[in-house]
Amino acid sequence: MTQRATTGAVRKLHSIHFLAAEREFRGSIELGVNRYKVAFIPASVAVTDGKLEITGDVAITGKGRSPLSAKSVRATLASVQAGIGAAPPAPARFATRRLGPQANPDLPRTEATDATGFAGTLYFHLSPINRRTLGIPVDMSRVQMNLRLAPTSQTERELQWLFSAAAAALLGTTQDQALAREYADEIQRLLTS
Amino acid sequence: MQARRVYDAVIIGSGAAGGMAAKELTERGHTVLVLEAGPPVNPQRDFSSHKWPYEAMYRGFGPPGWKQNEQWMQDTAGDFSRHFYIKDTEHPYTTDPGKPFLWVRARIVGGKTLHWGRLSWRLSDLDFKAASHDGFDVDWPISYGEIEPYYDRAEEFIGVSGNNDGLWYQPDGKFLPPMKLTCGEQLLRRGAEKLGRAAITSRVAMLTGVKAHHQRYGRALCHYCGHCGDGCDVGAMFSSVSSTLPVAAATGKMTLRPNSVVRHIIIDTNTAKAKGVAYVDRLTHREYEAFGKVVIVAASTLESTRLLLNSRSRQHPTGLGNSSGVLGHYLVDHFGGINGFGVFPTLGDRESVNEDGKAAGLFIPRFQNLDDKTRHPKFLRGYGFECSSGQRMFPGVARGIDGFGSEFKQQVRRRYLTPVFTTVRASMLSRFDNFVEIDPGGVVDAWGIPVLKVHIQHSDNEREMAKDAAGATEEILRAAGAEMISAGGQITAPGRIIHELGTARMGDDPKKSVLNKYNQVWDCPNVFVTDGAAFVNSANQNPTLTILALTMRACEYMSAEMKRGNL
Repeated sequence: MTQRATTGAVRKLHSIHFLAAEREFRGSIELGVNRYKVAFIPASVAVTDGKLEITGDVAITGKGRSPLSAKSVRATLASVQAGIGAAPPAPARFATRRLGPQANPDLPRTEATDATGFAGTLYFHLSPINRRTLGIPVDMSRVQMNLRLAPTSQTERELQWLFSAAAAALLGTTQDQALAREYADEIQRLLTS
Repeated sequence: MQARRVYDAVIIGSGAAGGMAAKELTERGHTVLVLEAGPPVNPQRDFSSHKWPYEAMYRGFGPPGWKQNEQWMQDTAGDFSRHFYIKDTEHPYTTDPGKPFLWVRARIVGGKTLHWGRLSWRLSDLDFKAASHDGFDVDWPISYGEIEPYYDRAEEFIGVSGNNDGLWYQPDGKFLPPMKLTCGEQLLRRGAEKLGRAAITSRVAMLTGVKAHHQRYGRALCHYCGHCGDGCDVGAMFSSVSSTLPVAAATGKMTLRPNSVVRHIIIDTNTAKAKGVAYVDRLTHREYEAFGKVVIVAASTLESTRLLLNSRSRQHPTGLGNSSGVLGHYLVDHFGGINGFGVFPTLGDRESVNEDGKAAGLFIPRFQNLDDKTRHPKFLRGYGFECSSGQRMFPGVARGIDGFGSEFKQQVRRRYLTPVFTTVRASMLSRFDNFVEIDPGGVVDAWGIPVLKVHIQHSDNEREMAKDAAGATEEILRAAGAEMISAGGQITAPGRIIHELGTARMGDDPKKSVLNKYNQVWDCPNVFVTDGAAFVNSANQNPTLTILALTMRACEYMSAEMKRGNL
């Protein structure tokens, strides 16, 4: 086996895992022995060109260093991973809506599918972040935000339902941008209230 | 400059298929490099064979939130085994909204053999020639007769306990003594037999007898401790770590490199053949290349197909081996979730005994669509039942009992001694529209490697089968004298049974398949895919024994071709 010549000395950071926690997304980056806490703090949510976009600040903290943040980072939804388990209940305003088609009641249905389906993880691409802004030694020109939705509060459950509904409207069989905008507005209201 | 070493074979993956390929090729005198994406395993440090729940800080349940936040798709990972599994935080994959696929993955030396279910069934010509039976899809390019000698060798090498039961559609083999059935399992067998259903002791890759070739590598008899999924430190259970890799290592011809995440197969631009692989070190993120005369892709069904799809080149523009357009297609998994649960009142007065360490229960093999007499009007193919009865350390039955106080305790005690459980293992039809592709949204993993998007749904064939199974399980339990508690349920999400198969199917026609009958890529003859990706259909039996046998057969062919100078 041989080592290939690497281009550039700075390692590329491909993805950061985040957990949705109330009104922000919390994650961490490990670089060798250094561990940094990262937060994405949403400021606005919109549907642009058929894609769900969240704009917010990325803040980073680490042991023995001052907090730094990158302002107005844009996160664009690229894809989702459907979840397994119990689907979140719809917020009261959307109580009559379903996340997918109802199954044939005469036959057993597949768990967590169609009407009982939901998004468990969302994958966003972040707009390029200058590594010097955050003061960590990695290339952050194309970072993916892996946003895990594992709700433990009412707000988080409502957000999971809304994200699931928005994803279904944008990435499902037929795209419905108007419907997605309705959900995006509600996500914005919950995230920024 | 470092000299470029060219191995006879570069093997990607060290699980069932990769480990067996390493053994088979090194024993024939070939040099191999085994690249494993995960860390090395040290049984003394990493196995928890004899730990009690109270020895763990969280009593075996793991830290709060761990499963949901880090390993949410690793369904079978437990507090003592979670290091055998990947972290979903680093290994994304995507699906359509509302259409989940549960992908359990092990990236560690030994792969999923460290915690597999060990059920070891042969397929028969009912499965290999399924299309000839019912007209759906195509037959495998091999018959049972062609693979039978390799089943024999695989069973003898890994050690499979079981009976010869004389069922043509569930062929017999070379078995070690069977594990005994519990009282409840014997009652259930009688119940099934009253209805004309066969009911046989499960065949499991556990040593109930030790032969010289087991002893040589330190494998010992199963002592029924019941910690199989936490790593078996005596090697009673077959795993690559206890069995195949030690044999390969002993030849001195294997180089094993853990923490090596393969990005793609490198194609020689002159010959369109593979010349090696490009990989990244999992920990340092440094990039490497390794070279071989042959590349064996054995990274597990979907990882193997992901690798082929990611290996695009001028000669293979839509992925390596995809000139037919079927690479990624015909994904299947068995389904479960249709369960029967009851109690045997006749066992309620017995003394509590230690019977929870046994790996093998009772299996009710498929009884539908075997012939014209058993043809089902509403579905093709069929299902079997995995069944068990007996006490377990944790009285899980308590979860289904309402109430509290002394009456509740009496109920728990009664059911603790008497439970009987069945769960369906059913086939899924191979359909072109169940497939994987490289995620079109551009999602990547922690090493920047494009990930899969999985598209898979059950059809009415599976749903009709599930409906039938719910009725059949109740019928069998009642015939056995059980008091019913529940029957039915939801079909498990695709992937949950961890028998994902297909997506690089073998076949007779290069226009309709990815591999030939020797697991060799039609479009690139020095690349072989020997894991579950090669399957043409799922049958309803557990696939690992067939993966081992196919790998043995492919390696025998590969070795002969190498010696002839054809590879």
